[in-house]
Amino acid sequence: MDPFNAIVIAVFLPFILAWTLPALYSVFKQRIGWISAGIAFVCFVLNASILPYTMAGNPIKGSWEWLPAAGLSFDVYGDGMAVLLALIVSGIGVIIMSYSNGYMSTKEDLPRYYQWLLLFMGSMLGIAYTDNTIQMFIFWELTSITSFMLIGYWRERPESVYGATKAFLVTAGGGLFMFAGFLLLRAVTGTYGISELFNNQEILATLHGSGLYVAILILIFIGAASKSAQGPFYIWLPNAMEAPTPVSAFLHSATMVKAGVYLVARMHPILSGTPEWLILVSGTGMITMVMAGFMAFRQTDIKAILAYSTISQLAYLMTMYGYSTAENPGLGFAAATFHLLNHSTFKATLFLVAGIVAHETGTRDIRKLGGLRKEMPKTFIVAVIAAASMAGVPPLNGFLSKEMFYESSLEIGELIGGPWAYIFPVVALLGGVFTLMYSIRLIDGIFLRERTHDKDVPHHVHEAPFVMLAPAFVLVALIIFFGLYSKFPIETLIQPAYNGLVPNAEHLHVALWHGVTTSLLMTIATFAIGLLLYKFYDKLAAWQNSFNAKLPWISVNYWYDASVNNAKEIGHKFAALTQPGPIGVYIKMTLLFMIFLIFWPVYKFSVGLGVGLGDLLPAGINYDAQPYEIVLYSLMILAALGAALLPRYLPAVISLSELGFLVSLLYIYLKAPDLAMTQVCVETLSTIIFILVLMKLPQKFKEPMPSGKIIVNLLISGAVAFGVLAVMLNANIEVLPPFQTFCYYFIEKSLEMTGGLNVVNVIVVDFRGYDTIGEISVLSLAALGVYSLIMSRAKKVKGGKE
Amino acid sequence: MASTTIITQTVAKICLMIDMLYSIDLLLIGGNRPGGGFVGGVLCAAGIGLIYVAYGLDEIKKIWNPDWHTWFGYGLLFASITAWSPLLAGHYFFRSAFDFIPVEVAGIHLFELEFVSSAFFDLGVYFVVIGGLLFILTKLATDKGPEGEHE
Repeated sequence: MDPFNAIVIAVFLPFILAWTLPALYSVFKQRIGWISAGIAFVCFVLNASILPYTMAGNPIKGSWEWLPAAGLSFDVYGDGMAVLLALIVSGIGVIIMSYSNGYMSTKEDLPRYYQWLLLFMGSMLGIAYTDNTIQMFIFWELTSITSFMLIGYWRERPESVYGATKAFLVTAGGGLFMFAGFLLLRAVTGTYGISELFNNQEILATLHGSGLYVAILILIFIGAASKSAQGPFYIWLPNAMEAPTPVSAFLHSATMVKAGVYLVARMHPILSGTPEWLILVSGTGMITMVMAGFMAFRQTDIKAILAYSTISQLAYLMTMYGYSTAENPGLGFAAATFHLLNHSTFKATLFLVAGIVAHETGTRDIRKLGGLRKEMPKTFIVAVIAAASMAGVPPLNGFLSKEMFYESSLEIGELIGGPWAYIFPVVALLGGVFTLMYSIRLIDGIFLRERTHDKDVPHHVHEAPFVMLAPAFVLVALIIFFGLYSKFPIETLIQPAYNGLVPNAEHLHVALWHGVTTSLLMTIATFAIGLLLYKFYDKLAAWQNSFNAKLPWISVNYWYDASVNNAKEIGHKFAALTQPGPIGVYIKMTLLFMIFLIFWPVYKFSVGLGVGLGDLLPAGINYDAQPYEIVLYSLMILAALGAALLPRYLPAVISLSELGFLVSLLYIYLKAPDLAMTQVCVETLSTIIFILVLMKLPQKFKEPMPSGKIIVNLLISGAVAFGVLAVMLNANIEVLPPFQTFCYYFIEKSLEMTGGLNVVNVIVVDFRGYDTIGEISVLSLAALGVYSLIMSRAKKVKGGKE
Repeated sequence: MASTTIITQTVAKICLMIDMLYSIDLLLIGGNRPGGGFVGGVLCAAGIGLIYVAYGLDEIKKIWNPDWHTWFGYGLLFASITAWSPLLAGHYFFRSAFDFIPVEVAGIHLFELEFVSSAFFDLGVYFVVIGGLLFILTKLATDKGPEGEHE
C-alpha cells in the first residue's frame, strides 16, 4: 500500500469505526472488545508498514487538501519518531483492549468505553503523524477530551468527576498556551508547517535570534509539560488514576502523557541547541524527576505510586531531551527515545499488574496487601520483571536506557563544566535511587511479606484469568527481548527516529556489557544507596505526611483547589447577578440593547449634520394602502391589543396566535408563499405548545401589574416599535450606492447552478447552506436546552424535599 | 391529559394522513416550488403533535414511542455528511450537484426526474426539525411541574 494512504487510513480508521461500536454492540455484545482490539491491530500493521521507509531514511511526506479555499490541508510527516510513537500507541492499544475483555465487567457500558478508547487512539496517531502545528493542536485537544471522558468513565463517582475535570483543565489549558506558542512561531517563521523548518538553516537562525524565541519556547513547553505532567502541572496525573485501570495503563502511562515528550522531541530540531532549552526542559525535568520520585513514598494506593513513578520517569525523558548544547544539540536524544519505548513496556505492564491485583483482591491499598506471591505466582513473576526493568536491573531494557541516561548526564556535565560536571550526574543518580526504592516497595508491599488478613482482602485470592495475564506476558517478553537483543529495537525504531530529528546523528551502539565505565559504577552506586535507604522508607513517608499536614499551602493541589473553588464562587455570583430568573428581565435587557443599537448610531452620526430624531422617518413615502390591507392591518392591531390586554391567559394566547396567522395572510398578499406556509405551520405548532403549557398552569388569570412597571414597559416597547418602523421604512427606500443588492445574483444563477426553480429554498439549502447547518445546530441545541432546563428544575425540587 | 371528543380524534386521524403526505410532498418539491425541508418538517411535527393532543401522549406512547432526540441527532449528522461528501469526489466543502434522469417506460419517454444533491441536505434539515420540535413538545407535555405530582 502507498505509505501515505496507509498513514491516513491508520489515523482515520479508529475515528470512523468508533461510531459503529454501539450498533455492533447490539449484535456482538461484550465481544466488541475483541473487535476494537482488531481495529487497533490493523492500525498497528499499517504503522509497521511505514517502517521500511523510515529505516531507509525516507520519511513519508504528503498532504491532503480538504478545504483549499481556506488553505486547510491534512499534512502528514511520517519519520522514525512518528512511527515509533504510532507503534507504541497502536501496539499498547491492542494489548489494552484485549486486557479490557477480562477487566471490564460485561454489565458496564462497553460501547462507550471502547468508543472513547478508539477515538483516543486515533487522536494519538494524529499527533504522531502531524506535520502542521494547527493540526497538532486539534489532535492534542482531542486527546484531552477523550482522556476526560475516559477518566470520568464511572461518572457517578465524585472522585472520577474531580479527576477528569482536573486533567481536562490542566492539559487542555496547557494546550491553549501551546497554541499561542504555535501562533508566535508562525509569526516569526511564516509557516504552520513543522518539517519545513527542520533543515531550513536560514529560518532557524532568524528564529533563534528573534526576541520572541524565549516566549515561543516557554509557551510550547507549557503545553508539553502540562500534557506530560511535569513541574507544577503534575497534579492532574495522580487524580487521573480514578479511571479504569486499563485506561490508566494506556493513557496515563504509555501513550497520552508521552504526547508532551513527543512534542518536545518534535520541536527539538527547531528550538533546541540553546542554553534556554537546556535550562527550561532539563531543569524542569530534573526537579520533577527528584520531587515526584520522592513524593511517591507517601502514597499507599498502588496506582498512586505508579502515577508518581510515571511523572518521575517522564521527567527522565524531559531531562534527556533537554540535554542540548549548540555544538551537540542531540546529546540525550537517543537515550531519551530508547527510554520512551522502554518505559511504555514496563510501566504498562505494572499497571496491568495493578489492575489484576485490584480485580482479584478488591483493594489497591498497599498497606492491606502482601504475601500474594504464593497465590498469584504468574502475576508475581510478571511484576518482578517489570519492576526490575524500571529500577534498571540488567539484563532488562530499563537497564540499557538508564545506563544511557547516566552516560549522557556525565557528558553534558563535562561539556558545561564547573560544578555542573557533578550536579547533572548526581541528580540523575538520585532519580535512579528513588526509582529503585519505590520499585522495591511495590513488589515488597504486594507480593512479599506476610498476608495481612485485612477484612477487605478475600481469604483466598485466585490467579488472574488468562485474558488478563496474556497481554502482560507479551509486554514482559518485549522487556526481556529488548534487553537481550537491543540491536533490534535500536535499528528498527530508535536509530531512524534519531537520524530523522538530529543533524549529524551518530551510529548507536547499545550493549549490555561495555566494560567497567563510570555509568556502570553509577548503576552499582544506585543499587547500593537505594537498598541502604530502603530501610528508612517508612520514616521518610511519615516525615512527608507530617510535613504536608503542617504546611498545606506548599502543595500545588492546594492552589488548584483554591482557584477552582474561587472560580466557581465568582461564577455563581455572576450568574446570580446576570440571571435573576424572571423572563421579563431578559426581554427588557434584549430590547434595551436593541434600542441602543438602533438609536446610538443615529445620534452619533447625525450630530454634525443637523438632523434630529424626527428625520428618522424618510419623507415622501406613499402611505396609501389597499382596502384589503387596511382590514388586515386593523385586525392585526386588534389581535395584538388583545394579546396584551386580555386578563385571562387562554384568550390572550389565542389572540397572539391569531396575530401570527394574520401575518401569514399578509405574506400571501405580498407574494411570499414559502414564508406564509412556514409561518402557518410554526404558528400552529407554537399554539399547541402554548396550550400544553397553559394546561399545567395553576392560575388562569394574569397577575395585576403595578402602574410604574406598565409605564416603563410601554416606553420600552414604544421605542422599539418606533425604531423598527424607522429601520424598515429606510431600508425600503433603496440600497445605498456603495452596496449592491445581491438578490438578482441568486435569481439569475439558481437554475443554472443548482437546478432549482424555487430561489428561496435554493438559497436555504444550497447558496447559504452554511447558514442552514448553523441554524439546525442551534435548533438541536435549543431542544437540548429546553430538556436540561426541565431536568435541572426536577432535580432541584427533589433536592429541596430531602 | 383530559380526554378529547371523538370528533377531535377522528378529525385528527384524517388530518394526520393528509398532513404526512403533504409534508413529504413539500420536502420533495422544495427545490422548484414553495416548500422545503424546514416547512415540511414543521408540518410533520404539527401533525404528530395534533395526534398527541387528540389522543393524549400516554395513549400514543403505548403504540409508538420513538426517541425524538435521536432524530435530530441523526438529522444533524446526515446534513453534515452531505456537506462533507463532495470532498470525497474531490470537490469543495458544500459543493452541490444536480442531474436530470430521464424516466422511460417501455421506450416511451415520460418525464425527467430531477436529482439534486442538496435534497439530501434538506432531508437532514427535515429530520432535525421534526426531532427538535417533537422532543421539546413531548418533554413539556410529560413534565410533572414544580410540585412533582401536579397534573
